[in-house]
Amino acid sequence: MRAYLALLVALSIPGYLDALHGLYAFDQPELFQKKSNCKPIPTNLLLCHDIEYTNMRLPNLLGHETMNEVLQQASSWTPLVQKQCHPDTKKFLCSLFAPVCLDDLDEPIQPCRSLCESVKSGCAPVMAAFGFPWPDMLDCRRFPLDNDLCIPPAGADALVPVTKEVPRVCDACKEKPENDNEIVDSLCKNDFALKIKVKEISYMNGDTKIIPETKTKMIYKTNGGVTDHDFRKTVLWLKDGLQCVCDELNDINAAYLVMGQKMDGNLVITSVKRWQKGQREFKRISRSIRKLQC
Amino acid sequence: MDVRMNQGHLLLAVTLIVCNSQLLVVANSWWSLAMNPIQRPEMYIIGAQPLCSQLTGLSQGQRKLCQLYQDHMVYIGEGAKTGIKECQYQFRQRRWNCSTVDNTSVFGRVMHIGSRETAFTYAVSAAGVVNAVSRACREGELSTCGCSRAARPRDLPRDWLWGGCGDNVNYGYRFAREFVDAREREKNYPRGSVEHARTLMNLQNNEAGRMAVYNLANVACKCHGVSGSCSLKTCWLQLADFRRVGEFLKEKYDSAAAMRINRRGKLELVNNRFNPPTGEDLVYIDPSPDYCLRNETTGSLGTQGRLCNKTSEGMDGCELMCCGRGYDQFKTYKHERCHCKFHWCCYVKCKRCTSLVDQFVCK
Repeated sequence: MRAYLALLVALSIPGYLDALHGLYAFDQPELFQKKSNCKPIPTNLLLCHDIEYTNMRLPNLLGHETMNEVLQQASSWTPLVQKQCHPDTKKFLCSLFAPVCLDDLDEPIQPCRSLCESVKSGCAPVMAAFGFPWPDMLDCRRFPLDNDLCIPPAGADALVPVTKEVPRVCDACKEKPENDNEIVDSLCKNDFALKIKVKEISYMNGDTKIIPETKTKMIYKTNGGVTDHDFRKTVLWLKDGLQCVCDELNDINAAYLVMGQKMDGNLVITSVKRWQKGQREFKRISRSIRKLQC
Repeated sequence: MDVRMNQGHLLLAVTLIVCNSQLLVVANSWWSLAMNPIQRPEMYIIGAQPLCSQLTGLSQGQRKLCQLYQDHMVYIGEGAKTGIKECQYQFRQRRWNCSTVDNTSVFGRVMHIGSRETAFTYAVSAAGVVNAVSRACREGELSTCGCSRAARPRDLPRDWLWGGCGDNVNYGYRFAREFVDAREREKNYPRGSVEHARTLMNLQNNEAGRMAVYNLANVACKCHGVSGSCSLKTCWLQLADFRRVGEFLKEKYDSAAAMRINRRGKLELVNNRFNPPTGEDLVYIDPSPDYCLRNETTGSLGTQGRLCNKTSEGMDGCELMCCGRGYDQFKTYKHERCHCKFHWCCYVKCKRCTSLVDQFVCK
C-alpha cells in the first residue's frame, strides 16, 4: 500500500505540473510582423523613383525618419539632378535619401568618399551659383574611403556610350530675339515686363518659384490685367520648372528681363532674358515701351 | 484501513500544495512579458479582459493597469526584452552573465537574493520600460500620450526652433513608475523585516533605472533648410541610445551601496563611512552568492562549460572565469562570410571562409 501511494504521487506530480504550466503559459505565435525598415520607393519621390532599385531603408542615411520627411527634404535636390552637373549625381543623392535596402545585410551601403568628391567637384559650383553652399550633411569626410561595401563612382563599364538624353529647355528660356522691335512685339502678348534680380529660387508642385530682390523695376504692365497690388510681394512662377532646364537662370547675380502673364492669380513667366545691356539701353527700351500701342 | 487511506490522501494533498507554492514563487515576474511574445494591441479589443488575466507574471495591481492600458503591454514586453538584452551584454564576460533560465521566472532563484546583480537587473529592466514607452508615444502607438511636451532648454540658440516630435520621456518615466513599482507597493510586509528591506531595495533600484533614462535624454537637431542648408534648424528631446543607459547603470553597479534595514523601517548604509546613496544609485542588501559552482538553492548556474579567454587577465580570462578549476582546450571550425563586395545594382556577394580556431571551456 505504501509503494502504491508513492507511485501515485510520482505519477501525479508531473502531470499536475504540466497542467498548471498550461494554465499559466500564454504562448501564441506572433501574428503581426514587426516593423520593417525596408520600404518601397514611392512614386512621388521624384529624386529617386526611377533609380535601379525599388526598396529603400527608413530611416535613411540623412536621419530622416518618416517618408514625409524624406519627400520634403528631397524635393529641393531634384533640380540639381536636372542640371546634369555630374553623371552620378542621382546615384549619390539617392544613396543617402533612399539608400538601397538589402535583406541579408544589416549595415547600410554608403556612397564611397570618391563618389562624393566627384559629384561635389561637378555640382558644388552649380549650387554656389544659386547661392547654396555644399551642405554639411554631404560633407565627403562623412563617407568611407573606397572599399568593397560602398558605392563607387561609375567605372569604365558604366561609361559605355549611352545616348544621352538632352534635357528639355523650358519654353520661357529659349533663345529670344535681340531686336528692339521684336522685344516690343512679344511684349504685347504679355501682361507685364520686369527687370529683376533673383533673391530666391525654390520648387513647389513641379514649378519653379522665383522671388525677386525688392528693387524690381516695372517696365510695363497692361492697363486692365495686372494691378499694382500684384507686385507688392512679387512671386514669379516658371511652369513645370522641375521638368526642364533654364540655363538663363544659372547666374544668380545677373539682372533679368522677365515677361509674363497673370494666370489664376499668379504671375507666370513666359520669357526670361539675361539683361546684359547697360542702363542707357534700359532707359531707351523703357521709352519705346511707353510709346507702345498694342 | 480507513485511517491509512485518509493519511495517504493527506500526504498527497500536502505534496501538491508544496508544488503549487513553488509554482507561485517561480511565476512571480513581469519580466516574463519579454519571453512570451505579446499580441499586437489590436488583439486586445477582442475579449480584452481575459487576455490581461492570462498574462503570466503580473501582480494584481499590474493586471489592473493592464486592463486600463491594454495598448501599453506590448511596449512593456519590449522594454523588458531590451533590458534583458542589455543586461546580458553588460555581463557577457562575467561569471554571472544574466542568463535566462525559463520563460516564467526568467532569471530563476538568483533574483531572490538581494545582491548587487539583482540590483542591476531591476534597474536596467525598469529603464527598458521607460525607453520603450517613451518611444511608443512619439511614434503615435499609444492612445494616452503623444510627442514630448518638454520645455525649451534655456541654452538653445534663439534662432533654432524647438518642437519636433520628441520622445515622451516624461510620460514613459511616470508610466514605468506606476507599472513596475505596483508590485512592490501592494506588498505589506512588517516594518523592519527582511521582506520589507527587499521591497525598499527594489523600489530604489527601479527608480535609479528610470532616472538614468530620464537624465541621459538629450537634445537632437535637424537641418530643414532648402538644399540641406541649416537656415532652418529644429530641435527636440531624444532618448539616448540604450547602450549608454546600460553603461551608465553598469558604473552604478560597480559603485552600488550595501544597505541594511533599521528599526524605523528605513534602509541605511552598512558602512556609514561611505556617502549615502542618491536617488540614482543602486543599492543591495545581500552579498553576492558564489557564481562559480552550480547551486540549486542560490540559483547559480556555475561557470562550467563557459567559454573563456586564455590570454586575458580580466574577468573573462580562464583563470578567473573558471575559478581556478582549469579549462579544456579544443579546436573548432569557424565558418563566416568574408570578402563581401557590393555590386551595382544591387546586391552584395560574399565568400565563405573557414578557419580552425582554438576554444577554451571551463572545467
